[in-house]
Parts: sequence; structure tokens; C-alpha cells
Amino acid sequence: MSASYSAVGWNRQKKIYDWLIAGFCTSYLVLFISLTLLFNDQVTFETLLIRSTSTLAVLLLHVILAIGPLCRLNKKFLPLLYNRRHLGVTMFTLALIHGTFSILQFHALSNTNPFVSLFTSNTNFGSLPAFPFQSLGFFALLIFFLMAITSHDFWLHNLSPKVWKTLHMFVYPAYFLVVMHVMLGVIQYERNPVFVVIIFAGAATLVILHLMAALKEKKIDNAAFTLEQEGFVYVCNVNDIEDSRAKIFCIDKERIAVYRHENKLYAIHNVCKHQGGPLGEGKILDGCITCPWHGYQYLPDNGQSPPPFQEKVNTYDVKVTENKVWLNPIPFPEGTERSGALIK
Amino acid sequence: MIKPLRKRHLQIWIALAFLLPAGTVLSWLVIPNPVPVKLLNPVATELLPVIKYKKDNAQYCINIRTNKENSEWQLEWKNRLSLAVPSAVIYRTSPSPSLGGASRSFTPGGSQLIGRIEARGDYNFTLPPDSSGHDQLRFVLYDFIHQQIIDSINFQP
Repeated sequence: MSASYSAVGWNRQKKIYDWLIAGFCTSYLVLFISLTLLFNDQVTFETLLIRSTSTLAVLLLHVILAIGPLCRLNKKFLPLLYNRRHLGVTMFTLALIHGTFSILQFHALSNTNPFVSLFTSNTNFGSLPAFPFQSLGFFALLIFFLMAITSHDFWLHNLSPKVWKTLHMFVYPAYFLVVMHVMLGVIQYERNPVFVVIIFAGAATLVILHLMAALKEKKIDNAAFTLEQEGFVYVCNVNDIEDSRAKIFCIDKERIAVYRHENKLYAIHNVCKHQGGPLGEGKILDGCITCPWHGYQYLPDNGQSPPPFQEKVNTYDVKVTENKVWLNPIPFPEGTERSGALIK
Repeated sequence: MIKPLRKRHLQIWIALAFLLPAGTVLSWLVIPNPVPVKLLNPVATELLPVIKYKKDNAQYCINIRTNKENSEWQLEWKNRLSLAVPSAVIYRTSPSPSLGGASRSFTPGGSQLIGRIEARGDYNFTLPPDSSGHDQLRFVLYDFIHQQIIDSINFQP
């Protein structure tokens, strides 16, 4: 959340996050290279670099893809989401090192342009075991490149959240390309079944996590609210909502977050203007509703970000009668002041 | 996340739930000549004492080793100079005189995968017990990235 452009809005959490990423990556590379040299001291430097960066990039890609569903299943994982973009850029950098050294080593020794050689040296597109797997890796890397260079909020604002999100959802086809790049590449010549098991287990874990998270979300979307009174819908009891926290309700296909703050209830649209984070899963900090994903903030009574920020979300009418919470699902224009419902 | 986005995520992951296992299993099934050994096999086992056949050139030295009873066989591969490719595989091929030898009749799918070597180093691979037949000892060094033969080696009696 920033009013003006800055390369990275550093804060303590981001620094800790990045130090952890750097520490993990360094430890992994040192361990991989040490063990490889221990068991095969004839290996060349280029080969070591190609293998260590590729395995680490694949591992990080799995972690990145697991963070989203893990956060939807359990809020304790939310700190991992906070700076996921730096993890993504790290993964891309490692994949780029792998791709660059692979092209240098496999395609730079002839008169043919290395990129031409990449696509023309093997054209067995009709054969699965002899498939030109390097091209799959190349296209995955191209997607990661587009994602990495547009990862800054500058591009989110300029491309619009819809275009940005669509572009970044290409990570899923890229993941499939990576799996096939590995399976049709090195796995065809490394018969140890442990490699197949690892790749299969990684893919299965991600599929299961994403489907479990989707099922959980579907339950929220399908909850039925039938009791109506003058346009208001009965949603829950006052005591069901913790102080400074919210409950999320999906009415008429829209998710609304009802927050409890200083003995009043406020209702705002659940979707953060930044990257669509679930505002109802955040909490009130310094009097502002704070998005759990990247810390964007909104005032509970009008859905506006505190000055000088300009983000706004819809507000809703909410009322309390006999400890019952009633919500009107018709939205007010973004940033409309609502006084909130006093809890008696 | 808005509802259409949640729906699109679900659709993508339902598709991946079919595509990922299908792609993984299919790729695994088409691995040629499935043998449950790790192919990259630097010298780890003791070399057999008798060198039965030998090929030596500036690039590499290759020995076919056996024991006194001729019951066990090994292919010893020593790279003298670094290969132009970082990694290559050795196939044992069947002779096909009408086609002019191992290299012209060679297809990876129709040959026996012996092992993988890297640009540098010494390697030692176990050969099948029927390796005593001289006319069977034909090997192809194959660049699996570019799908092309680097060299073919025929051991004549």
C-alpha cells in the first residue's frame, strides 16, 4: 500500500521474509552441490549449476503454489502469503540461471543460433519418449518472465487487476509445462523411481490442497439465508463475531464482511481492491480493516482507505435487533459513509 | 477473491487433477527399456580382472571386462577428453549388416540402454551375462538432447 512509486516498500516483515528465502536457497544449493561432489566428483561446474538451480526452482514453485490454498484452509499460513511475490521472483531467477546455462551448454557449441538450435535440434514432436522437452521448459520460463517483470504493484495498477490476475493465472499452465519438462527430460534417463515419486507426490499434494480449499470456499458461497425482513437478511448472532474481527456472508453471489469494532457492527464488500484479498479474514488494526494478504487498509464506517490512499470498497447497511444481526445485501456506492449498528 | 475468479481457479485445478497424473504416468510408462537401475553409475563396484576387448582413441578408452569364468561382464568407459556434450547415453545395439552396422540401424527404442555418462570421468557398467558373443558387442554413444549419434563402437573378435 503506497501513495507513490517505490521499487520495494521495505518493512521489517519483508526483510525477515527475504532473509529466510535467501537463507533457505543458499543452504539448499550448498547441500546439493556438496552431496553431488561427494558422490560424483567428476561432475562439471555447469552441470552442477544446471541441476542445483533446476531442482530448487521446482521445489520453490511447489511451495508458491501451495501457499494460496494453505492460507484459505488455515489462517496461520497467511504470513507466507504476505511476500509471495519475492518468492516468485526468486524462483524465476533460479529458473533463468538453469535455462541460460542449459542453452549455453547444450546449444552454444555449434554454428547455429542457440535459440534456433533449441527448437530445431530435436523435432520429434510426435514421439513421447523423444519429445523435445527443452521447448516446454522454455515456454514455462517465458511465462515466469512475464509474471516476474509485472509483479510490482505499478503493473497491477496500470494493467488493471483483471488483466494482471489473468496474466498471473498462467502460472498453472506453466506448472504443467514444468512437470512435463522434467518427466519427458531428465526422468527419461534417470531410472531411479524416486524422481517420479517426488514429482507425482508434489503434483498430487497441490491438486488436493487446491480442491480442498475450493470445497471450503464453496460451502461459504452456498450457505442459505432465508429469513428476510424489510430487505434485511438474518445472518448470525452478535456473539458469533469476535471484537475487531469479521464474519463473511455470501448473499446474492456477493461476499460481505461484517466487522465488529468498538461495540458497533460495520459491513463492507469482502474483496480488497489491491489483489482481491478476503477483507473479512483480516482484522482491525489502528482503527482500520486490514487485508490479510498485503496489509491494505480501509475505514470500517465508509470503506475508504485512510488519506492519502484512494482505494474504496462498497459498504452495506447492517442492523442489530435482540442480539440478531441483519444485513441488507444491496451495496452502497464505494466509499459511502454508514454509521454502523450499535450493539446494545 | 471474487466469485468468478474462484470458479476459474476451481476449473483449472479440476483440469490439472486429470492432466498432471495422466502426463506423469504416461511419461513414466514410455521410458524406453525399463531397467530398475540408476543409470548414472560412476565407478563404485570393483572392476573385473580380465580385459577381454579394448578400444582406445584420443577421446576415450573403452574396456570390455570379464572374470576368469566369463560369467560376468562389464563395460568400462574412461573419458580422456571432455565430451562436447555435458551428458550422453550408451546403448547396446543389435548388428544389422544389411544396413551397414550399428549406427545406421540404430533407434533408441530398439536398443538396450546401458548407462549414462557425463562430459568427464570414468564409468563402469554391468553388461548382461550373454555378452560373450562377439558380434553382439556394438555400442552407440548417443546425445539424447539433440537426438543424434555421437559415435558408434564395434568390438570385433
